[in-house]
This record gives sequence, structure tokens and C-alpha cells, in this order.
Amino acid sequence: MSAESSSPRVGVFVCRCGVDIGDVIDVPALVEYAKKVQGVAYATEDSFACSTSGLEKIEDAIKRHNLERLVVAACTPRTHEAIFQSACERSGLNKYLVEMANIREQCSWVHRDDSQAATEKAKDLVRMAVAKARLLQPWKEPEIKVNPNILVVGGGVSGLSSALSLADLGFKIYLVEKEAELGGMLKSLHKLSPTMRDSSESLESMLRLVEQNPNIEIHTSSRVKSVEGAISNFEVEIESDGKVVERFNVGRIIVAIGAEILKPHGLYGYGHDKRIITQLDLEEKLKNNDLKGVGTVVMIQCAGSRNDERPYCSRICCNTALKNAQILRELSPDIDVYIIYKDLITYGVESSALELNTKRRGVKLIRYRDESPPEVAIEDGSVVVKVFSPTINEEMTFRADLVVLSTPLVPRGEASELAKMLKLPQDPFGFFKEAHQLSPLDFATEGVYVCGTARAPKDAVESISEGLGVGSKAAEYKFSRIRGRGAAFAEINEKKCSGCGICIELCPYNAIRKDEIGISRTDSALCGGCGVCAASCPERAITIHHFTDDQLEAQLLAAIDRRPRK
Amino acid sequence: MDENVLVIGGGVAGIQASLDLANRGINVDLVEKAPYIGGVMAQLDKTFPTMNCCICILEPKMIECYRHPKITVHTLSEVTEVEGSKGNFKVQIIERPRFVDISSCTRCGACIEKCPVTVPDEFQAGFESRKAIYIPFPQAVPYAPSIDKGSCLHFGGGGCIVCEEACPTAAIKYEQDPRTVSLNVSSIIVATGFEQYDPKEMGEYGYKRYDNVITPLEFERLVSPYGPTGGELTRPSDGKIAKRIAFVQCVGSRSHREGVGVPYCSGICCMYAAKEAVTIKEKYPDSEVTIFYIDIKAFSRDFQNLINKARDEMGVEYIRGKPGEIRENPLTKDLYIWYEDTDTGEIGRKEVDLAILSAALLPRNENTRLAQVLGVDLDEFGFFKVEDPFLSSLETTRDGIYVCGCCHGPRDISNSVVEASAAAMKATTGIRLTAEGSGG
Amino acid sequence: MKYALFLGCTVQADQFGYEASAREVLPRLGVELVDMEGSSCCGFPAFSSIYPSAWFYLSARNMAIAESMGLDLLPLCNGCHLSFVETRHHLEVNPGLKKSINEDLRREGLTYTGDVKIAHILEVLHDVVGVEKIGESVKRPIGGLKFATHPGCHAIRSGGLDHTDDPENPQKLDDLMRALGADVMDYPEKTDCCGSSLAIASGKTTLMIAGEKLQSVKKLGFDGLVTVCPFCFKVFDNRQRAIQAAMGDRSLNVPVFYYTQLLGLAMGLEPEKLGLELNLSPIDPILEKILEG
Repeated sequence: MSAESSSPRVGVFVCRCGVDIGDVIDVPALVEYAKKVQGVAYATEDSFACSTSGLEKIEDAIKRHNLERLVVAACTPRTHEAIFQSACERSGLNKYLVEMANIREQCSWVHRDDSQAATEKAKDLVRMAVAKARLLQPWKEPEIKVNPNILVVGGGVSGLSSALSLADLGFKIYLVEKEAELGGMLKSLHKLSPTMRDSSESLESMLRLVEQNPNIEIHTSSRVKSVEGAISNFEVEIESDGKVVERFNVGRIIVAIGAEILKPHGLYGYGHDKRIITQLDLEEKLKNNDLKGVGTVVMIQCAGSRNDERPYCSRICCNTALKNAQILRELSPDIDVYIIYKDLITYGVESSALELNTKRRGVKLIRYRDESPPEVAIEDGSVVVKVFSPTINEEMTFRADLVVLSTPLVPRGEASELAKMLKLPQDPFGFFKEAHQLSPLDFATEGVYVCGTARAPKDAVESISEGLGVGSKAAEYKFSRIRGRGAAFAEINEKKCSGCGICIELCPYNAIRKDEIGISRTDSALCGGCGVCAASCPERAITIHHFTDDQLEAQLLAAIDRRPRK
Repeated sequence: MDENVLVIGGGVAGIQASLDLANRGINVDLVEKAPYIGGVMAQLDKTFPTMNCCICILEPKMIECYRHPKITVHTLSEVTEVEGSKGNFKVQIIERPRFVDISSCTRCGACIEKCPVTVPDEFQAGFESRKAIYIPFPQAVPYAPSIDKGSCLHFGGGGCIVCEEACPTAAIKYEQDPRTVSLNVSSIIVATGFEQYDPKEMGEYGYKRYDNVITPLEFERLVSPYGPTGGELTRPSDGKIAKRIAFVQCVGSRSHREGVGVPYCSGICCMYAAKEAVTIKEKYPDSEVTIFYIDIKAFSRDFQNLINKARDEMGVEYIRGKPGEIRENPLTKDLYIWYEDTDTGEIGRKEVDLAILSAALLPRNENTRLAQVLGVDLDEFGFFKVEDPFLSSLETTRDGIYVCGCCHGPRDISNSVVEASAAAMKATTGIRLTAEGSGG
Repeated sequence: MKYALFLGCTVQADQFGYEASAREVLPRLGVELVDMEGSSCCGFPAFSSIYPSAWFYLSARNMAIAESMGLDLLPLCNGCHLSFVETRHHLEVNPGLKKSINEDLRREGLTYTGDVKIAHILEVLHDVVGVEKIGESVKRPIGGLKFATHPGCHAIRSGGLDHTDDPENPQKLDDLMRALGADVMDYPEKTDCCGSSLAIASGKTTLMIAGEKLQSVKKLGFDGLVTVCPFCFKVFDNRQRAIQAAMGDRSLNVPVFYYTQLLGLAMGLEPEKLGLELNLSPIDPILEKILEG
């Protein structure tokens, strides 16, 4: 796209950002400078350009001064670009005709000690932004019809909640579960705190609703084999028994594959003696009433977590231990239960009540220090637990009939595979990572969401909340016709393309394919606008819209030519 | 079908719920008591564990919410009556007058400058004053003044019309009356948040007696760049930079003393203390920071990382032992904290410049009135009651009314936001789980 | 206002200054003191530690005597006061105990119903007489002198039972001092114990505890310490030389007074009437200042 022949009228708004910019950069001088830059028809400042009054000022100025492009010299576009884009729209300007100059994170915040230099740099940044803004082109997002199908991977409580709520809104749900039965982790649990209701019974009602719901198509004993495409148009293959059995086209994908309990072979003797078990094993014993001859139970918290290998807290282990300890004491007052812990992670109202009730039932809580964890050994055929208690400054010894290790939740093996398939980042331990703190249910790949313990350890109630929450995110745009993609995307000039294929190898979105003649073609729906292809094309055959060569060259020239030229 | 949902409470949870609903084409009425939306989060400096600037990440949402074509924000408003049932609630809201016409107001600030009345500024936790006509803070949404009738001379019978005279666009409207608005909504989401425990009743810590003993909200204002000191952590007694700081955890929480505090753990104090400690160390690397704790509850993603950063990287001292008392040197106003280090068994007395009491999260006082209006039950502490969080997630005891965020128990921002989305879903779907397994 | 005056052991054994000054100032404020016939030790702290039933009996008996006089009971000592308050509580929650004690008391012709009010001298002065009236009675104000108030543990720490003053922030004695024209200032050790309960088990500990408090009082620039309890006074004043030796600090000089002594001085009474010659701490320079006015 070539530059327009007539010079568009650019408006420059310099934001003081309270004191963040205003205290370092000489804002009035910057405004005066901006007025002299070629193409600028109007320049002003504001304390908080992003405030409702600041935005109104911008909208008003666009109309009054017939501005055709907007430059906002303020903070980072990451948080605020959308706001200024909407200000453009509200004043009749195409939303992609705004360019931000980051004079906060990239200027005032890092040059606090040199006001003068910071101001000069801000002038450079504004000049560059204006140079690019003059070459920006309007763009309208293509209409993409909303796909009424949603894939939910994982049939535990989180996936089920998601499926049920979305089905109720009229979406068609493909529910894929790798096991033969739905229900996930809750099938293996005994009781759920804080209500102490039976886990299977609680699950029953949810399962019945899912089975009865005409909008939910259940595929058990199945796994996702491949996913192609992008939001609103995912092509999914699922397999069962090693062969592909179904193909769906869905608009959104919800990952709810859950997590599993760590089986810490070797830790505290686990695996060497059948009296040393995990909390999950204990749940099974409780379900089957398999506690004959158990007189003393010792539970060890943080077994395999909050250590160097896994520095995270698994959130639910303390509550689980307290719950099970309470149940054991209720079974018989002759069962002694000791919980050996580092920090007691109970939080909030219900969990605190659980702690109190458990203590009242005579469960003994013994604290241990990081440096001196408990020791488990087999002596004369008995399992002996030794731990130093800083509270009484003595070492305590227990002969346990059962040692229950509270181990953390860890991501399932499949998580990495799925992460790669869906291009979802994982944290260092394998849990799926959300995009941003204030949007914990938004993820890097558009149209893909993660809920439940696959995202991070949590209990059933929290998993249900998250299942509903991602449902809300996935349901967004059901009533809206237009799906935005952003103005930055790659366009390949087929006449210049030599078919070398470098761009295909490098594209992180797998958005480029060779056509029948060998020319590279992009799928604009998949393209993320990152620019790697354009940068590496030896024929310079690729243009990135909104970051065209002309625009970038104009910015570079503006960077080194400091004369405002007016 | 045009669906309408009422969201009560304009904090981060209420804002998120409103946005979720509106982005699905549902009409939302967001009712907020204060003259601005943003709730407690707007007063905080940073979030944990990411140390993001609170107002920076909240503001885009506040603005999106306020300007969203599907959301009607009613500030200075309260719900007074609720009748009907799920699918068809008839709600009455009272909108208190701002006494300023927002559409003609240019935000020039002349009225505020000329106003003769000063009162303590509650947004700045009382460290500064504001006028009777005021804009709560620079990023307030809506960014417009309102008159605090209670402190205004005009309404006190004094006949003062200084602001009206100063206004160049005749935007001051003393004659504005409270307006009753009737709404018809299919469901209601309660997101009214929490209030901070007042540690004054724990006399052993000297809050309000000793100048340099403060609460977390007061601390957040002190370190905020938009606070009364521009972000300098100065001691209330003498304005000097505090170099030796102590945090006392669980003040008011986990209390089994009759009539004092609450027995539950407030969940977030371990983390906000760590966050505040890191903030201090980042500003003043040579400061000495001690956290007196009982348990360290670092139970979410990256929480433990922040604790490790505070303790291992930045040298924040963690002492396990809840202090018995804080005393004050009457001449210097320095504080002495008596404690037992339960790991070593030693009794110690720590001298500090400033002490922050990590206060419990309590249900709002107004919950009683609101619960009555809504016809829902509160739990024994005064939080909105959710009968069965598993089967009836986020449902109050009345069909069609849901909760999210701290109004039903203490939780952090991330969880509140997740619940807001979940409540938005619950409020618009028919699914109801029961123990008998029937749908609804 | 009329009270049965309970002197208790320590006042009668060696704290004559307290008795003398109390008998001088209280009637002048309209508080009539009536001596109790046949009163005995209250049982605290020795009996309460090793022979609780004897303790209850002794305290109940004294309260019964006051009852038979038809008067409220006013002990001068913090310890006696708490002893009565605690005993009353025990007998209230334990009717069987109350019954058996009454059986014993019947032999003396006494009955304990528990209706007797147990006043505290701080309460009488601050709440009944009132600081205003006290202020009016001042002829020779103690201006320009700063005192550290020591209310004493048993006045403020009563384990959930009615306490005389706020356990964390006691101000009654401070108000009473201000009424005399004196300066007061809160200090970190204000609610710290005098240590005298340990005097038998570990005398040195008592001296060290009291000594640390006196050191702080001195360091903060107070002119003196004032108290209302004979046990506390005994340690701070009578044993100040021993404290100096235990702390290894011969310069640890702090003038110590009973409140009633200072009240008497402020009212214009002569030092001899107030038993001031019996104070063993170095009060002379302060006394001079007060008398000069």
C-alpha cells in the first residue's frame, strides 16, 4: 500500500500520566515540538489521556480539528491501545489509524535521573510515531460467523460444568474424555469438603444432567489427535484405540484435562511398603472401608512439593488431610491421627472451620521445619516416623499403621502434547499458563481456554467456578457477528515469491503453506502478524500490514533526522 | 430475547461480571454506592504475585465498563427493593444526586479549588483532606466531581454557593433530587466486596493510639504514587522515611478470643504482606523489613515465588511468632514489638519505625441491609451464604441471585475475577444442580 | 460514700505510709472509711497458690464481714482486690463450693451471699469521687513534674473478669495525676509487672524485673513513679537499694510515691501526715519541689 498523496492531518496527544511522565519529561516543550513536526495539525497535553475526560477531549479534538490520524504519546500500547482505538471509532475515525509512542515504559520510567535527555528522547519517539501514523491505512475486520460448536477436552467436574453451562446457552458441545467413564478425579474421591458429601453422589447429579443434555455429544475412551486452524474454525481429530474416529469443526476449545496426584517413588519410603500411601490411596481405602487394624495414622504434608524440585504449593493437600483426618476420627475415636505439616494452608471461611473442627476432634498437628523434615523408616517390621518439633523442642517418634503422604497435583503427561498442539504456554511445572493476571481465563491462543486443575492445583468447588468462567469467555461473541483479528497480518506478493520456503519453516503460527505451484500462501485467520516471515524473506516479498516497509522506513528516517521540518 | 441482569457492586468483580455479560449481548445495570467504580482495588498500589500496578490494569476495564453500550452504570446508587423471582425481578434503585451535571461539566476543577470546606479524604485513608465537592482520585471513572452532602456547607444550611459561582458552565445543580429507578431483571449478581477489620479493638497493638501503627489500606496509600506522599513511605508521626518496618500477620483473623476479631483465616494477608515487603525493599533497598507470621499461606500460582523473592532474594526477615504486644517510645514514637520466635524459643523485642497490622477481611456492614432487601441469608459472619458451593456454585439462598468475589468470603483478585465470569454464566443459564439430580 | 476499709496484710505489716495517706485524703473527699472487725488476710498470694479452699474461705469471710456491716468493700491493695473478685466468681459458678463455705462461715455467725460490691481505690477516686472534684480539692498543684504511672497487674489483668481499668491502655491513674496538676506520659513498660509475685521463688528475678522498669522510667526522663498497690510500692521503693545492687547500677534512683501521698501533698497536707518519711526511695528533691510549689 503506497502512501497517500495528500498529507493526512495528525493529532498528537501527550499524556502526563499523572506524575509518571509529567515529572520527568518536559511535557509543554514536547507539545510545542510536536506542533512543528511535519504532518501535525494539532497537539495538546492531558493529565490522564486514558481517563473518561481525556478520551472525550481526544474525540472532541478529532472532530473539531478534522484529524485523520492520531498519535498518543503515553504509556504502553499493551494495556491502553484498545482504549484509544475505541476513541477513534467513537469520533468516526477508523480504529487502526492511531499510533502510540511509548514515552513512559520506554522513556520516563527508565530515564528518571535525566529529564533533559528523556525529553529529547520523547521528541524522537513522537516524531517517529507521527512519521508512521501518516502512512497508516484504515482497515476493517472481516466478518466471521460464530461457530456454534465447542470442544471440551476432559470430562471431570471442570469440563462438565463448562459443557453444561455452554450447552444451556445453545452451543453444541463435543465432550472428549480419555477414560471409559466421565467424572475425572472425583470418581476416586471419598467425600468432599466442606459439606462432607459423598463424592460419587455429588458427581451423579452432574453426570445425569450431562447425559440427558441433547446439546452434549459424549466421546469417552477418546483423545484429541490433532488440531488445525484458528478461533471459529478449528479442525479437530479425535482418536480411540489408536485410530481416528471423528472429526469436528469447532469455534472454541476448552481444555479441562485435569491433573494427577504425584506418586513419589522413594520419598518417605513410598513404594517400598504398602503401608506408605498417598492421600488418594487413602480416599480409596475410605471408600472401601479398608482400614482394618489401623490404629495410628501419620500424615505428612508437602510430600514432594514446596521443595527445590517443585517449589509450588498444591493448595488442596492441607484441606484434604484435615478432611480425611476428621473422617478417620469419626470412624473411631481409637484411631490416632497426626498431621505433620510445614505451614497449614487453610484459607477462607470454610477451610478455617474445617481446621477448627478437625482439631476439636483430637487430630494432632505437629509442625516441622524445612531444614528437618520427618524421617520414615521400617524398624522391626513397623513403620516408624520421626520428626523434630520446634514447638516442644523435641524429637517425636510414632509407630504408624499407615503413613499418608500428601503429595501435590502434577500435570498429566498429555499436557505437553496438548500444549504444543494448541500453542499454549506452560509454566515450568507443566501447568497451562494464562495470559495475564487480571484475565486469568484468557490464554495466548485465541479461542482456547483452560480450566480446572490443568491450569493450577485447586479443589472441586474452584474447578467448577473456573469451568463456568471459561464458559462465559467461550460464549462471548455468540451474539456478536464480528470477530476482530487486529490490523497486523502478512501479505505475500506472489510475483516476488521465489518458493524458497524459509517463511514456512519460521512461522510460529503454522500459517503459511505452499500452494500447487510452490508459492507461499498465508492463512490470514491463523497469522499472528509477528513479522518473522517478512523479516526473513530474501526476496522481500512479504508485507506486514500496519507495519509496512514504508511505515517502518519512515519511522527509522524520522529517528535519525531530528529536524522537525516545518 | 433481550436479557437484563443487575450487578450490585462496582469493584473488580462487579466490573468483570458486567463486561462478560455485556460482551454476550446482555444488558447490565451496574449499581455502585460510591461516586466511582473500581472498589478497593482502585486504592491498592500493586497486585500480588505479579507486582503489577493495580490502577494501570484496572483502569482499562473500568473505562470499558463505563463506556460499554450494553452497561448502564449507576454510581451513588443503592438497591432498595427487590420483588419477584428468577427470570422476573422487579428492582428499585435509588440514585443519589451528584449535584453536578456531568454532561456540562468540563472538569476544569474551579469548584474544587474554591470550596471552603475540607474533610479527611477517605480514599487516601484519612492521610489527606479533600473538599466537600471533589473528584475521588485522578483516574476515577466517571471522572467528574460530586458533592458530599454531609460535609457541604450549602446543604448544612450555610447558604454557601461558592462552587456554583465558580463554575463556568453552570454545571452545579444543588436542586438535583434522589431519583428512583425501576428495573426489570432476570437475575441479580451480588459483588459488594469486603471491608477491612478495624484493629483498634486489639488494644495490645496500639492502633490509633500509636501514630506509627497502620493498617494495610493506609500503607497502600502511603506507597502509591497517587497517594498523600507521592509514594514515599513516611512515618505518620514525623514524616521521616521509615527504614525499619514490621508486619504483624493475622490481626483480627484466626482469633479465638471472645468478641475480638474473627476465627477464620482471611487468605490473602500472607501474600499482601509479602507484596508490600517487596515494594518497600524495591524502594528502599537498605530498609529492614520483618514479617511476624503464624503460617505462610502461599497457595496459588507463583505465590511461593514471591515469598521466596521476599525472603531469600531481598532479605525480608520472617519470624514465626505472633507478637504479644506493640509499645511506643513516647519521645521518638518508635515502636517496640514483643514476640516469641517459636522456631528458636527466644523472646525478643524488636524496635521499628513503622508497624503494619495485616488486618482481617470482614463482610461489609451493609450486607445485613442488602440481604434483607434481597431476601437472602447471610452466614454466621455476615457474608452472603452459599448453601452448597459444589452443587449450587455461587448461588445465594434465593433462586436467581448469585454472588462473586469477597462478598461471600475472603479471596484474592484472580479468584474474584474468575468467579465474576462464573457468576455471569450462572446468571444466564438455567442449570441448577441439586442433590436429587434434577436440572432446572 | 461509706466503705468497709480492708487493709490486708502488707499495708498493716509495713506499708504504713499508704494507710496513713489514705486515711487522710479519702475522708476529705467525702469517702468515709469504716474499720472492719476481725478481718484477716485475704489469702492471696500464698493460699491461692497452694491451698485454694482455704483461700476461698478467707476471702469469702472478709466479704461476709463487709456484708454484715452493710457496706461495700474497699481494699487498698490490688492483690486483695483481685482475690475478692476471683473468689466471688468461683463461688458464683460453683454453688456447691459456696454452700460449703457458708456452712463454715455460719460457725462465726457470718453469711456470704455475694452481693457485696468490691471497690478499687482507683475506681473510687476516678469514677465515684471524680477527677473534677479531686481537681477542686487541690491547693498546691504538682506542676512541672512528670510522673510515670504504675497501675499494677492486678488492677488491670483480671482474666476476663471485671477489671478496674483497660488492660492495654489504662488511663485512670493518669487522669488522677493530671487532676493534681502533674504531667504524665505513656511509656512502653507502663503495664509491665513489678515482679513481686516471684519474690519468694526467685528474689533476684523480682529485682531485675522491677529494675528494668525503673531504668526505662529514668531513661525517659520521668521525675518519679506513682502506684496504688503496696506490693508494687514495696519492690520499687523499699527495695530500690537492692534493685541497684542486683542491676549493678548505683545511679538507678527513682522517687516512688503512693498516689494517696501525692494527693495529700496536692491538697496541702503536711508530709508527716502522709507517712512520707517512710518512703525509702530518694523522694526528697521531688518533695522539696512540690512543697515549694
